Amino acid sequence: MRRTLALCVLAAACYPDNNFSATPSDAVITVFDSATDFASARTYQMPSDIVHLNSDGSSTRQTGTTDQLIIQKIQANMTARGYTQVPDSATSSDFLVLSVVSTYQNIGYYTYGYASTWGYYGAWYGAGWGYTYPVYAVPYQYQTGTVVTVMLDSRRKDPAKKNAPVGWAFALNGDTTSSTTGDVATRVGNGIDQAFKQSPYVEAK
Amino acid sequence: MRIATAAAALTLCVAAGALAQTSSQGTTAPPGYSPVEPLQPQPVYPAPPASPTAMTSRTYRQNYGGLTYGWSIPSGDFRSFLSNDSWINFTMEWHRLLAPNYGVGLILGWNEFYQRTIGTTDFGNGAITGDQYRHFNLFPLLVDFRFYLQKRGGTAPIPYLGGGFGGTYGVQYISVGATGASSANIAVTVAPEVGIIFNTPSTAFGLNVRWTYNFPATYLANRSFTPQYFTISLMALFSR
Repeated sequence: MRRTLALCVLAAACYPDNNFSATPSDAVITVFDSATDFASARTYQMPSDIVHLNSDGSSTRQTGTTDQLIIQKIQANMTARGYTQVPDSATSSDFLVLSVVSTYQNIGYYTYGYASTWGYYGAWYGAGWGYTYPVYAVPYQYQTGTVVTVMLDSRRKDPAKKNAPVGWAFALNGDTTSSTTGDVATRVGNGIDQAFKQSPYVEAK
Repeated sequence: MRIATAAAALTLCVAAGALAQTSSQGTTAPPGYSPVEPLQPQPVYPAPPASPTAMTSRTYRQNYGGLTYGWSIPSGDFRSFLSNDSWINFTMEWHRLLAPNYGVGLILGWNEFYQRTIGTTDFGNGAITGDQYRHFNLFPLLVDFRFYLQKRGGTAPIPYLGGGFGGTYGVQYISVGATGASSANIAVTVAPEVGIIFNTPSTAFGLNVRWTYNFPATYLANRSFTPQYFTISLMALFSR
């Protein structure tokens, strides 16, 4: 189960037209849990900062320009899909959206599976909560320049286990070390748009 | 002394040849001398067996081997992963005749497929977009049975029907953007084939068409997959 998201590319491939423009190193990967009811959801929570993973294993919460771009892009797409953001102080929401950025090379598996590890203690969750991945969705082996966003299905969280399933997740991966990779912020923005574009099921109806 | 002995022996040989020449022209050998058989040109191939159904060509000796090089095209669900044809197909073969018209062999092959594409790929519970490089290496090891449909002996072309059974070690690799992953497995393989062998005075070669089908095995993402492909090969055959 714990394999990279990239392992999920298999047969039954199709190649719809798309206008995703990126450098050859960029990849956008999305996974979803078929048990999550996206259509009936209405609200979501999302912290106003982004967690950055450091090379020593620690993490910091940052609100830089690129971080704000990520947040704004996600908010814009979520709004376009019919979802409404509620403040962290709200004691109820359908989804919790968390993002993490890594800008260094890490060959390990993505095992930061706990909201508390990311420093988020929203009223609806509190400390010590974790989450589980959907079937076939697996931790991401992040490399240079990775943005991972998970959308927890708060309606199915298990208070006894302090655990909530990931309803949807996307990962943007690209090389940020090359001088030919272009503007990182633009690529991240395009990547988030592409993640929503290739996930039409993420929509309130 | 030795020179004299050699000269005497040469003289006897020449004399014997002359007698044989004379004998072949109908002249009776002198009393006390046995007729000498005339020299015959040695065939490139062994002499044909006595049986009219037995094989007579070089490639129909009891053992023969071959090297093949071919062109392959994916089929079935393999084509959904890799649609490009491949010019990287080699086999080493060894065959042994169990009877004049059938035999068994061993085939070791290497088939490589790859394709570069960009786009979005759905994989059931998600999708991936990016510059993709897809690659599959296959190494079949087959026990092969062939039935030779020889109509006449000599150097006539020899068509055959056959089929291989064995296993294939397959390695699937895919990279998307800067991320790559691979997975390997062994699958049960069947490979029906048809072909024809041509003989020339100096060598033998053939054409072979084979469909290689690997039964489902799990590769990347623990998903079942059946690599299968047609291969048209040119064979260079040899025997000892």
